[in-house]
Amino acid sequence: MASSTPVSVDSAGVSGDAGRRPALRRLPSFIGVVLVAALAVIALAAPLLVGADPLAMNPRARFAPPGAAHPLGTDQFGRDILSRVVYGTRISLGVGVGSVAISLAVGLALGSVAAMREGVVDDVVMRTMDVLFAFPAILLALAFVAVLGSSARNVVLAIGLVYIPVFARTVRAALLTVKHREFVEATRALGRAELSTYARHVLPNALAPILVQASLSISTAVLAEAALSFLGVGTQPPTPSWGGMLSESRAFMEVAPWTAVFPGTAIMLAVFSFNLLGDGVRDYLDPRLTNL
Amino acid sequence: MLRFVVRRLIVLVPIVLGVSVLSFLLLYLIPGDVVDILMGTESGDPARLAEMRKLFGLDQPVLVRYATWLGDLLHGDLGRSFVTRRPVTAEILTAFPVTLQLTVAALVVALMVGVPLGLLAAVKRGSLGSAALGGLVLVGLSVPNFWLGILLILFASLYLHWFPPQGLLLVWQQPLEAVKQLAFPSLALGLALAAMVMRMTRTCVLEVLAQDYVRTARAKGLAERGVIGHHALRNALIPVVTLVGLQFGYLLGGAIVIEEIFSLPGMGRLVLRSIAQRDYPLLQGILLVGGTTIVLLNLWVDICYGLLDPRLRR
Repeated sequence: MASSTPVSVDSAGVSGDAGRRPALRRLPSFIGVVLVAALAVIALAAPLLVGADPLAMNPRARFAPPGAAHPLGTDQFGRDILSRVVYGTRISLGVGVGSVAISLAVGLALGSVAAMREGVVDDVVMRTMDVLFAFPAILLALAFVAVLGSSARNVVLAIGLVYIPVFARTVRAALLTVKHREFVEATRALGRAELSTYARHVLPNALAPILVQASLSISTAVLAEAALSFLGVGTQPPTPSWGGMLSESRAFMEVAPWTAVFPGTAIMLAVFSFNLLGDGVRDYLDPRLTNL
Repeated sequence: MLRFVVRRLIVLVPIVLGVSVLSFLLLYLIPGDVVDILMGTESGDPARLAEMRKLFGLDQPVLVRYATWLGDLLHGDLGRSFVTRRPVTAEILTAFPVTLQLTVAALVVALMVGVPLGLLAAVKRGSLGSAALGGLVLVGLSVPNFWLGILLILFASLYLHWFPPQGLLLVWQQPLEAVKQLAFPSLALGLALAAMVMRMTRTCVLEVLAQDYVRTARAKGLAERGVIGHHALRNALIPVVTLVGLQFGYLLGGAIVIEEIFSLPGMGRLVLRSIAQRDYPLLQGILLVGGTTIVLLNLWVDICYGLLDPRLRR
């Protein structure tokens, strides 16, 4: 995608030292799995992990620096930053996974129709995808949210819509590669219906690149959500979101730098974790790409 | 080559038309219409509303309105901003150079940082330094550009006691001031692309170094510096430059956020203003220009690649 984020493009190579021992090569992926699992636990068990209410204001504790009472300090309303960062995980992961699910579902349907039908249907679907692909992703997402209205649900929808072409292209390319292989021709020669051939033989053998794309796209979606919230059109205050917290911190960052440092670190860690996981999924499902 | 360019241009026409259709139709997703937005809470008199709808051509079928809009567009008329009443074309022409110079500066940063480090990672393959550079790539790809921008401002104000110059500064008018203004924004915007360039350079240099002609160059006694500089890097740079060209859209998108942080009066601020003020003709114009720019840039990259690699012209 001309307008895609850098994460989704050629992510091969980091773990590409063929000479390294297998255990050492798998270490980054393992770290990625552990970090993503930790993020999922934090998101699910947020109320058990932090005592403070992320929305509770305390004017007496405004801009308290990190300390025993507030490990990551407080913001301009005296709200506990640790609590807000922990609850913000729910929004980031929810939007990340939700929007990729939308892109994947619609992209799978469109890419499958294009690949299985070919001809005019393929041309129409893929040229439409080219049009969506032409816009800078964040600009199109901004425009969708501007039209649909600012809310977490609409952000999921907007990011999901913007990244549909990425999945439609990946699915189509993967299916076309498998579709013309001999074993698929053989099932056709045996008289099996087109839909059955697709579901039982073509799709299962084309899943690797699609799953790799999905795992790498979550980090892109997390970044996009943070950017939209940062720009004020994503998750709306007072709901804690990392991008929104960063945006609010801009007015006070010289007196309370911790209000900017911790939400940003959370975004970076989440994106880093999903990138490592994505690389790991790629190495596991499609080892040929690892040593590019 | 001419046939290749003509073929690419023919493919381009429906995509540009599609970009215009999407930019135009976006207004129809808004609850209500333009008149409701302009009148706000004053919309009481139905006769006046009907008169205004007629004035804006809203009583016409969608296809007629699109054809009129497209006709105006071909004459360089994108309508007028709801808020400033200035022509949208004029608004965009003022802001676009700011965004263009920021994205070009970010490209320069990405190439200046990414290519040497990528080359180093390839040459020192298997070493601890190469592994560290690999880790640096992952970190570079994970740092949100807007957070990096905030940290740079924080660093500059707290430790350097320095604030970049503000306002509309163009490199071709006030080079020194413009470069000062662009230093931090281009670094924030270009870092992720630098990580990508580094990864791509490393991969491509390693591929080239494994080729027979490199072995031949070494066998005839060419110094390692000559092998790397004349053979490996020169050939490896073709896909790197292509990658950079294709990522222009990513940079344009990133510029929206970076311009907001550094208060640069470019397309990013314009798009945010159009959204905040519900200035839909302006938003429509920005979408059209953004989409068309990317399409034309992709064409340019395709043509360059076709010139460099004759196999692609077929």
